[in-house]
Order: sequence, then structure tokens, then C-alpha cells
Amino acid sequence: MEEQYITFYLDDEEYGIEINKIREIIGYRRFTRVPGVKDIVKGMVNLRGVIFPIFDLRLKFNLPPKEYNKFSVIFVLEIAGRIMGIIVDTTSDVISLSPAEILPTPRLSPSIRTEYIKAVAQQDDRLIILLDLERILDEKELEELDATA
Amino acid sequence: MEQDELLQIYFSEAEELLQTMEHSLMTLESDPQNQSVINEVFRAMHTMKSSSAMLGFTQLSEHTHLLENLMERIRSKQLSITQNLVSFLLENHDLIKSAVESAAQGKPDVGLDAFPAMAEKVKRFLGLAAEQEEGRVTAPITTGMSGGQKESSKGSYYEINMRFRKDIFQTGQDPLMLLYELGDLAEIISVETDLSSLPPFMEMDPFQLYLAWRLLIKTDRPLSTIEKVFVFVQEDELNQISIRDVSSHFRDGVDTRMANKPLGEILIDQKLVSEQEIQEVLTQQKKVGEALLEKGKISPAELNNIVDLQEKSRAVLRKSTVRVDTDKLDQLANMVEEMTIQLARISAILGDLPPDVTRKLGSEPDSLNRIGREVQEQVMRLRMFPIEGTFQRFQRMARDLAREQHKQIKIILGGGETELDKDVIEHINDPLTHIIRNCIGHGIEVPDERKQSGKSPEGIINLNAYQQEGKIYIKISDDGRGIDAEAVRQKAIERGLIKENDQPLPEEIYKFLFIPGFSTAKKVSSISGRGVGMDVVQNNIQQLGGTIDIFSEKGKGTTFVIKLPLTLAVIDGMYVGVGADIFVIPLLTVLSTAKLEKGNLKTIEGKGEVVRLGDSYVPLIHLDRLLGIERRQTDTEPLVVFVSSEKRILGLGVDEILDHQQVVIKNLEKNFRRISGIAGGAIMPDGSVALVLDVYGLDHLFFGRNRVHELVH
Repeated sequence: MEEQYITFYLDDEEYGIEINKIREIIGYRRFTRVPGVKDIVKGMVNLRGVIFPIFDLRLKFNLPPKEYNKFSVIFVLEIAGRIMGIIVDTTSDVISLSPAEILPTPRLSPSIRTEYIKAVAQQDDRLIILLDLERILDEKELEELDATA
Repeated sequence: MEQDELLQIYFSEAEELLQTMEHSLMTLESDPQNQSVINEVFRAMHTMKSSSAMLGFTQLSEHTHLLENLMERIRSKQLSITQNLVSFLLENHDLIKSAVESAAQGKPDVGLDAFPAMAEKVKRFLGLAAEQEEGRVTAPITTGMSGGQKESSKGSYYEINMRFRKDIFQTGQDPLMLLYELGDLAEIISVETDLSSLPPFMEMDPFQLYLAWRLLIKTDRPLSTIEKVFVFVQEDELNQISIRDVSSHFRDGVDTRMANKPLGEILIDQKLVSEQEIQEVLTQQKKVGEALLEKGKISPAELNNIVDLQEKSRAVLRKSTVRVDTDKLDQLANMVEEMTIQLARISAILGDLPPDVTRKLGSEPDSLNRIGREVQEQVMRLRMFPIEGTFQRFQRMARDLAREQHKQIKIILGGGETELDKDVIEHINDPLTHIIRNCIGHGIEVPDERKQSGKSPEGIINLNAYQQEGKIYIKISDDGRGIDAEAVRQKAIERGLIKENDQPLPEEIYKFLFIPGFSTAKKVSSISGRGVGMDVVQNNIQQLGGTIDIFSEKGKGTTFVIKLPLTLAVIDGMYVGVGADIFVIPLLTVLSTAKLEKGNLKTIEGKGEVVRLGDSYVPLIHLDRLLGIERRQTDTEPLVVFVSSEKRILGLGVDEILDHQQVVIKNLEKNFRRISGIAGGAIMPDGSVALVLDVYGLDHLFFGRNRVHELVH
């Protein structure tokens, strides 16, 4: 059974998310900063009357921050009943991965947070990091986001 | 999937039925002869039985079947209602309720073990009441309920108006024959005779017809058959015959049009009183029915009959509501809101077009905008529910608590039809529970004590809701012992809240009860009769954007007045700019605005700042610092907005004051979480989000960190 993933770049690294997790992809829009939360929460946006937070995964993966530009894209996801967006540099494409192409997460240096990585996939000479979104933005994580409390 | 949906419907229906049951049972306690209430319980049990059976909840269905039999005995007056019987039925209600609730949580087998024992008890009631006629008891149930319903669901209803030429007898026709014929073809439900053209007796010509009729018939024959009855008279233009299919107004044989009509109008329709008589009594400040009774314009039997019909009509109409997932409602609300925002944007673009184009458009864009706003308002109203259900729950609670504490308490409900936002209703339950518990536990005295102070042994708690000045008021008052203001004052002195010789007004004294930890002090609660946690109550209400006040008279009773905004969803907001960010301050909390100048600014211990407002100084909160907003300039904000956080008045330092506007406020918890100092988000005309400040939260956020100001105040 092949599964479809949508891939995007953060700097030079290519990440993949199962396509059925994504509700919608929207262009970059101005968000409203929220006081008293961690940097990873960039702010709130409105999409057709629904207000939801935008996260920047770069900060989650300890990548240096980057100015957003017209290529920046927001993936709108629904995780555990909550709608949220993640902002990424640019989408690359939709790929189909066969089980053979998906490899278990390799051992990495301890400084890299592997708990958010479900697996890595290898296709031709591309290495795609498949994210475990439920882990990245689950409720516990949200609570932890409260920097002031 | 389908089964799931069925289950959902079943659970919400069961909840409603159980509520009806409970409410009606309690009504029966004070009004045991009320046949329509008995019927209501019976119907609830019956429906519960059928739907439980349909979904395979056998035990529930069997048990309700037994109860239904019991109710049937009551209905047929073989068993009379006593307080014990009501208690027993309430016990049964609770048992069913808990079983339904555990089934709703996916544990259908939990709580069933109590059923056999209870069933035995029911059977005993049944056996004791009428040993001899076991067979007859069950028989009417089938005909009375399911049979009856089936019958009434078939067939159509027609309203027939007949007015004939006066000399109809000379044409060889007799209206009476037509009526007979109709009676053969259909069930005649009602006949009203119009006597208005009847002349004085002396002028009457016995060969003339002065009467006209209005009939309501029910038949399963086609309309053409009914029309054929009139075929001979209808040819003559002087006879006016109209037949109207009114089936859509009837459900289960009940005229649903009555539900929304004022009693007076129904009485006029039924020709029981004249319009003039109604107009007369309307000028008095009384209920129409009562006033008419007093004047002898109508007999009690007639009135009861009509009121009964009206109630039936309402009951049937209530069933015709549609249950909608609130998520769907929210989605709809969101889309409508977005639509109005888009409309506003389009209007702005249209405004920039050359005059010849705008002229062509005329007022069309305006009316489109108006429709948009109306749609938005209607959608908001969809979220409003009457507070009745919440009130009724307290009746039960009060009854049980009173019994426990050997007190006699009557709860009088008023304004149950007042509609509140669904969210408000959900959140108002806890504070109301708390207050009513207090009223019962501490306010109302035991019967002996009441008698001694010359009161009736039965304490009364009034629960009332109404709308006034754009707010919802909920008033809870008891006629108990009241609050001892002096004891509270002493306690306040002890706690150092006021000085020995301070004599605050009673209203101010009662406010001390809201201070955390104050009312929990044993001494006060034993003297004043007010128990724990009034601060929690106030907190809950403030979170809903409301306020609470206490009024009390020692020995006479206590009244709590809760004021709530009409809806949580829409607030009047003041847009303010802080740095590059825009925030909304609820206008309800804004007192005034001023320039922030050196002259009206003072510092305390070099840290805390206070700003002058009139004769006093209030704490100044720099929003930029509190909320961590970067500023381009380093000096402080040029403007201050004075807001009231209930606890105290605060000055909020801002850069700009932009605009006043109604905003739809949305919670951020749905997709994110609660943020201290922020009440929610609002969508601005350009589609971006502005955060709505929560003044109480800001207060908390600020004073949580900054003790200096506590000392100032």
C-alpha cells in the first residue's frame, strides 16, 4: 500500500507529512502575536471565521529563525480536534511512498529531537523526514507552551 | 454510523424526557390532581419505553413499561398521588437517568443491577393498588397511547367556513343536512356557530337563516369527496363555502397554532369572549385569563379547557424542534460572519468606483449588507436557549435539600422563557447552584424558627430571569433570615479591610463576602448565614462578563442579582493600538480615557506607577510591558484607558485609541488554549485577528506579579 505524503523544506531539509492530515494549504498571511507564549507559537490567524494558532517548526527543530516571504506556506492541520497551522518555507511536492521506501528512524546524535520523527524515507537520492504530527503538537505540548505559567 | 446517529438522538431525547418527567413529577407534588401533568409523565414514560426498546436497551424499556402501567393506574384514578409515590417515582427517574447516562458513556451494562429490586417495588405498588383487575390495566395503554396516536396521524384536517344566503330554505337546501353528511364522511372536531348576524328576537324571520358555521373536520377521504357535499349549494354565488386543508397545523391531533398565540386571541377565535372584552382586561395589569374570570366573562371550566388545549399545543410544538450539533451552528455562524466581512469589503471597493457605476448600483449594496447583518443576528439567536431547563433542575435540588435538612421550601420560578446564550447557560449552572444551596442551607430557617418570627413555615425562594436594558437579569431571593450586616462589618474590621469607625453602606458591606476566604470564616457564616465560596461565584459570573450584587435585610431575606450580557458572542469593543499590535477592550469595562502626562502620573517606591483619575490615583498598567510588546519609542504610552475590573479601577496605557465597534468574540481555547489576560479573538474588518483583553485577567496577571499596588489601594 503506497501512501501519499506532502513534502516541504525547512532550510535544506525535506520533511514529509501524510497528506490526509492536511485540511488545506494557504498562503502566508499576517498573524496576530499572542502575549505570554513560547516563540514556537507565531500567532493567531483567521480562516473563514475560524481562529487558530500558527506554529513554526523551525523553532521546534532548533533551526535558525527566518523571515517569512511570499514563498512561505501555511499547512492547516487538524490534530486531536484542534485546528492549527504550521508555517514552512515552501512546499515541494506530493509523493507516493511504498513501505519499502520507509525506513525506521536512524540513530542520531542526542541533540536531535527524534521523538517527533516517525520515520525517514528514501526515494532516489532524496532523504525525507516523516513527521509524527500528533506528537509534535499534542495537548501536552500545548500546555508546555505556556511559558509564563 | 447510522446506529450511532440513532443513539445520539436517543440520548438527547432521553435527557429531555427525563427532564420533563422530573419537572412534571414535582409539579404533581403540589398539584396532584392535574390531569394534564399526569398525562405528560405518562407520555414521557411511554416514549422512553418505545425508544429504549427500539435501541435494544431491554432493561430500561421493561422498567419504563412497568412505570407506564403505574402511571396508567394514576391516570385512571385507581391510584392517587401521594408525596411518597412522587418520591418513589423520582427515585425511579434517577435510576433510569443514571442508567441512560452510563449508556451514553458507552457503558450500557453499568447501573442495571438496581433495576430488579426497583421493579419489584413497582410491582408491589401495582399489586397493592388494584389486585383484581390486572387485565384491564394494561388494556387502555395500548388504545390510549399507541392506538390513539396512530389514528390521529392518519387523515387530513380541513377547516370549512360556511355562510349561506339568508333565504336558503326557499331553495330547498338545508345546512343541517350538509352537517349530517359531513358527519358521516369525517370526524367533526369542532363546530363554531357565528351568531353575529342574528337580529333581535322581535325582528327575526323564522324562514331566514342567520347563522354561519366554521367546522374543523378530520378525515382520510380525499378533498374531492368533501367538496362533493357542497356541490349543490356551491353553484349559488350567494353561498360562501370555503374548504381549507389545515393539516399542516395539526400534529397528533393538536392545533399547533395555539402554541404561539396569546390566550386572549384564542378566546376570541373560539368566540368565548369578544375582542372588546379582551381589550378591557388588557388595560389591567393582570393575566388575561384571571381578569376574565374575575369579571365573570368566562367560566372556569371554559378557561381551563382552553388553557389545556394551549398547553397541549405547546407540548406538541416543542417536539417539532430540530436538534443540531452545536459545531454545525458554530460553523454556520463563522461562515455568516465571514460573509458579512466580505460584504463590507465589497462595499468599500464599490465606494471607490466612478459615480455612474455606483449610481447604477443604487441602494442594492446597502440592502445586501443589511440582509447580511440580519442573517448574522438570526444565526446568533440560534445559540439562544430558554433558561427554563436550568431553573427546573434547581427545583429538584431544592426539594431534596429541603427534605434532608427538614425544612419546608417552595421554589417559585419565573421568566423561564428568557433566552440565554448556550455557553452562558452552561456556565451559569454552577454559580446558581451555589447560591441556591446557600439560600437553603443558611438563608431559610427551619419551620419552628420561622413560626417564631411570624413567618409561614414554608420558606420561599424566588428564581426569576428577565431581560432589561440589554442585559439578562437573574434574581434569586429567599425570605430567610438575611445577612447580619453588622457581623460582616466587624469581620471586615478584624481583617483590617476597614477602620474601626468606618460605616460603609450595606451594599458595600455585602461586597466583602466576595473577598476570597472572607465568607468561609466560620464566625461570619454562622451569624450571617452565608456559607462558603462566594468569591468563586463572583469569579464565575465575571468570567461570563457579568456582575453580581447582594441585597439583604436582616430577618426578612436576601436577594442576589446577577447581571449578564445578552450574549457572549458579541461585545462592544474599543480598538486600541499598542506598538504595532491592535487590541480590543470590552467597552463595558471602559470608564473613561485621558492623556497620560507627567502631571497626572506618580510613582510609588520608584516602581509602581499610579495615574490620577478624578480625586484618586489608580494603578497604571503599561500594556506593552505587561504583554511583552516591543515598542519603537522608549517613552511611555501617550494615552490611558480607565477600566473597571470589579476589584478596582485600572489605568491601561496605550498608544492609540482607534475605534468603537461591535465585535464577535471567539474563544481561543477551541484550537489553542486559554491565555492569561486575553478573553478571546475578534476578527477585524481586514480579516486579521485582534485579541480581546480580559480586564479581570489583566488585573490578575499584573497584581500576581506586582505587590506594590496592592499596598497602594
